Amino acid sequence: MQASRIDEVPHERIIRGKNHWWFLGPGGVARIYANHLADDGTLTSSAERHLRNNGLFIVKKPQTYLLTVLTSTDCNLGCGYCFQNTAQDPAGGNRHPRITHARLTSDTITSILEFASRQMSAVGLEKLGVLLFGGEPLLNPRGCRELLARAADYGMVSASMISNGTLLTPSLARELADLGLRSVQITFDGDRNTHDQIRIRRSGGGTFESITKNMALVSEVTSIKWALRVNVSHHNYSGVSALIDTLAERVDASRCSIHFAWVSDAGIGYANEMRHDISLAEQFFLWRKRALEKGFIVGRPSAQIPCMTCSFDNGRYGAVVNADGTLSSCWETAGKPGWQVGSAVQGYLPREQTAGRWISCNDTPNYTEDDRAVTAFNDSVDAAFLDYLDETGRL
Amino acid sequence: MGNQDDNVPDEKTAVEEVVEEVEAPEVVAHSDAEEQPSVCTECLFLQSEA
Repeated sequence: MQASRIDEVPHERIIRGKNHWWFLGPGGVARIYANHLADDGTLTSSAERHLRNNGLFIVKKPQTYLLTVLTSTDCNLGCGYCFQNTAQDPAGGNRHPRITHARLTSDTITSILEFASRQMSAVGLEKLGVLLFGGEPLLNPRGCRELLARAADYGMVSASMISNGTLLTPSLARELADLGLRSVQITFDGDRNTHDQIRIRRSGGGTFESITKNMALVSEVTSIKWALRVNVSHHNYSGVSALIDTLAERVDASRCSIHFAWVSDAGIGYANEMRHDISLAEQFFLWRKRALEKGFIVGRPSAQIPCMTCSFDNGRYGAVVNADGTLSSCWETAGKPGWQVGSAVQGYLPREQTAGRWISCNDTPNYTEDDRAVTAFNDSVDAAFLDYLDETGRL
Repeated sequence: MGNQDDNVPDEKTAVEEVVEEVEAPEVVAHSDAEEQPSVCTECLFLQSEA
């Protein structure tokens, strides 16, 4: 489902804490009590008016056009749950067939930046943010460098990258940082042993040592910030606490934000056997608390924030472009046959042609449970964390 | 934390028992534009830094 403008999207959440409810709006957080809720669980008119007057309903208009570019669809890792696998390795190894090979070229960069410029003009945005994506984007370091260097002429104010971290050497990181790279998201899959079994090279061999070593070395020569994503499944959840402790020893936690992400069942032949039950919600809360106490940056629970690339009609505030210049609505469908919604050269296809292909983030998780259970789980984790932040004076 | 059904917003009875009425909602924090890097709340993938 997509909207035309950001202020059309409902953002607010009301979740129950230990002693009261929490209101999470686009403009901030408030404690609310029983007398602020109507019988149907919505705000009373006077409570809503008070929160509106205090700016909690204010939706900030995006200032930056968010351009996600796959610089390479290939990957040097062979994770079994990857959403870009098209089948499991028939030999039972780590060489899973993947989406079609594509590699960003100079000509395609020209098309992509011209496309972004047209899109930005259409909505009056002058700032450009670039997200390097893959596959593994650093399998095409020349493409990464050229894209960032040339994007500077199109209003680029910053760049980020989602990388597996194994190829991020200090010298390359310094080059990319000089070209505007500010933050890198890296994923972990449990404690060292489990991570090395899941996040494995296509050629075999673990990656934990390589990733954490690169992060430490890169941190010495750049000011890059790290967004750590911990993918959680039935394979690795028992080792997540140990992972937090190990990471805190190996990297500068104060430069790392950390998020714990449920692995959805998007991979071919992969199913996460965890269920959204209350004991697991407690565990997700305890991981956040532990990470915070170890010095990591753990984001305060927030209102719903729509994805800037996929939640709006025809990429109003951002786009996902494959290395071959085709457009998709979302990272999940990039490079997948039948899911293209246009091209950088010609722009988006007419809306009647893209409607069935416009996948957004909130469409993609393939849980076997219903939405109510997932929402209750997320609300429970967030409410417990807000209570903890409140109790410890961190709100 | 209670069980799953306790977390849906239409069940407020238990909270009513322990919290006295407060005249107006208490705003405790405003959104901070400096909270970076931003991550999509749905997919938890990094969104390019603004």
